[in-house]
Amino acid sequence: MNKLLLSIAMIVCSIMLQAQPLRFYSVVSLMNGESDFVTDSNTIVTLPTWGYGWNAGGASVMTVPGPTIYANEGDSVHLQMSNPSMEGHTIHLHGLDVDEANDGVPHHTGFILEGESFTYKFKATHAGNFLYHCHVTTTMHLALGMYGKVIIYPDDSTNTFYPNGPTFDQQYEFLLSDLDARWNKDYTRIGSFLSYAPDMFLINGKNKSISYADTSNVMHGQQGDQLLMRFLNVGYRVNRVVFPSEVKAVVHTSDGRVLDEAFTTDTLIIYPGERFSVLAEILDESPSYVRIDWLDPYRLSYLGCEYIPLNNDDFSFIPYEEDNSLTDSIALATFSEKRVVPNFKVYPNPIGEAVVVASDVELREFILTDLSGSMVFKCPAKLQTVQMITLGDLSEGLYVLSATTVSGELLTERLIKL
Amino acid sequence: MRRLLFIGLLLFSLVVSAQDEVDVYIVEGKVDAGGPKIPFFTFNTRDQFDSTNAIFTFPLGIAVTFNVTNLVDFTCGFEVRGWGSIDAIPSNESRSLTLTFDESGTFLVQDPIGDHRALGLGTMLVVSDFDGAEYYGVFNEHEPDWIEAIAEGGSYNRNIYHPDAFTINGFGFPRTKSDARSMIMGNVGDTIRVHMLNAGQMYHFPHWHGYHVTIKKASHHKNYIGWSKDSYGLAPGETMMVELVPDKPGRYPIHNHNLVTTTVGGNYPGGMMMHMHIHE
Repeated sequence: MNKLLLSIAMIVCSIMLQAQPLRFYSVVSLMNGESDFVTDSNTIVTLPTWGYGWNAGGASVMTVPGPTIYANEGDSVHLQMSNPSMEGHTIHLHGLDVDEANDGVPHHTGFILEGESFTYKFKATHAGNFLYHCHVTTTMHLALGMYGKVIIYPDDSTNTFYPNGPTFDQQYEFLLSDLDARWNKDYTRIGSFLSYAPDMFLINGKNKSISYADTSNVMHGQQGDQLLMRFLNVGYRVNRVVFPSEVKAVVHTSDGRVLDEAFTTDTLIIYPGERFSVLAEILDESPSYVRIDWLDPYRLSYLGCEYIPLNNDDFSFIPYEEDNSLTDSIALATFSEKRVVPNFKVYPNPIGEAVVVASDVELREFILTDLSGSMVFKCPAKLQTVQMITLGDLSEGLYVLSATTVSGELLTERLIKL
Repeated sequence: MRRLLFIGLLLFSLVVSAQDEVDVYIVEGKVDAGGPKIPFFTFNTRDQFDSTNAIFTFPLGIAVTFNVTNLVDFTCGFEVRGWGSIDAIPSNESRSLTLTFDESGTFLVQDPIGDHRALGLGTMLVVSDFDGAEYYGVFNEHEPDWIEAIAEGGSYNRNIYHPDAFTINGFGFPRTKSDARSMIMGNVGDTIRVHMLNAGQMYHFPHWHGYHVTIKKASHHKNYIGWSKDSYGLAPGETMMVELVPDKPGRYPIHNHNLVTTTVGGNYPGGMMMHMHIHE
């Protein structure tokens, strides 16, 4: 009886397996690419890149990012990587929850060396946005361009992005990354990996005018349209996506999983490795743009930005700057949280030898720094909302008084000593 | 190796678990993250320097008295965030603090004075009624210029921060693989709980290979709670508790996806990378 049941189960499994489509992709890992980028001075610079490409007409073609891997939920996917380059490489399927053999971690399963190939296999279990990248000397190989997207669609062939989810009218994929031009210019002279200082901020491997000339990096829609924006951060810096008032943006998925409750926001923080799907309804079809900021992991200070034009075919880069001296890691809001800024007043200003500090929250400590950031004064605060502190005989100049609240938030006020 | 890890975990549990009185020492030494040794300060349960901060674990409902002795040459403090603090412990003096832990969770322990946490004085306290396997990862980075300036009363620019070592529980990879607190060992079907803390000054971004985890608690990114994630952010000072139930065997890294931090001495691999080993 048990043998009969087992046989029936095996037959059913075989039929089910045969019914699941097999997607086959073939890529090559290359170290001899080139891409154009736009510098801050608005000139075009061609930089060497590494990455994944494909064979076409007997030659290898490489782009940054590499070719996007598409599949439907339930598909089996085979991704063959051939390596004609002189260093070992792998593919790590980021977020796809693969087994150890297909995880691409060289200290567990080795490198794909020059002349070798390997076929990575995975089951597309969840619709969503995923990444792939090289995991050999990852800090460098990924930064030089060895990455790409994996997009899994639901299998119901409708305009949804997860089973039984809402529908979209147009969809866009935005792979966000950063690049240190010095590293790409000559990877043999990188030196310490601690030196990474990105100066190019990329959307699908392009920036500024090159990005706006790429039709896949410019969104279009009419009032009432639902635009699906897939955001994937493969860089080493934090992305802050700022949506315009012309759309109502609702976040539905994160890391290839549907959120229990979708949420509406005008700002979305995307940390390195994270992915989100956002459905944005066009409220006003006037030309506008989504701004993407790149923030440093320390204090989330502003590094630079890029734009995704919306109904805006003549878009050109808009310079944007933020005053990093006023940012603080604790104080910044994340997602749709709106920061409630406590009152913090210091008077008189210009200051004398003593000042009165008034706040509507209890403070823990005061630190006075000069414009170079050097600490010139420090004292504990009294647990009261109005207090006088004696600063002493300071030399003329500008100072910043920082106060730490009992909840750890940092409040600052610029002071002038005449 | 597994036997050694087990013995280490047992000894660790004996030291800091289920006690109602704990001696804590604030000590100074050097940490070896694989590159040049850098100055470091830690909370230890012995009066000798150990580069790995003690991680305090207690059962739910217990009252604990912390007898904190400051063995460094400047005034320090001791705070269990959300529970209570000793604001100032002068050099070579002791103070006590009694707390009753009537809520489970993952909490930050730190010296709350100024930027003293950047000295290394940040660790984790876990109150638990969980009967499965629990693991712990304190993510931290080390900026020798800051540490020297803070400890010696000098000045430093808070807008400039260039840490050159990155650790989990005081270890950089591959030493993390020998740390019983962060080396996750389990079987398919187990419910595994992992507590994480960012004791540093910058954001860190754990990425899990092989698995999504369910975020059960988060002290800053409260919007994450209940989400299934493979990558997320840990804000400075943030604690997070995650769970997973493995469905396949294998060895999987968990590392910071700001890949500059997975280096040691500026070289890859190293730094903030811990591992999980799941058996059938």
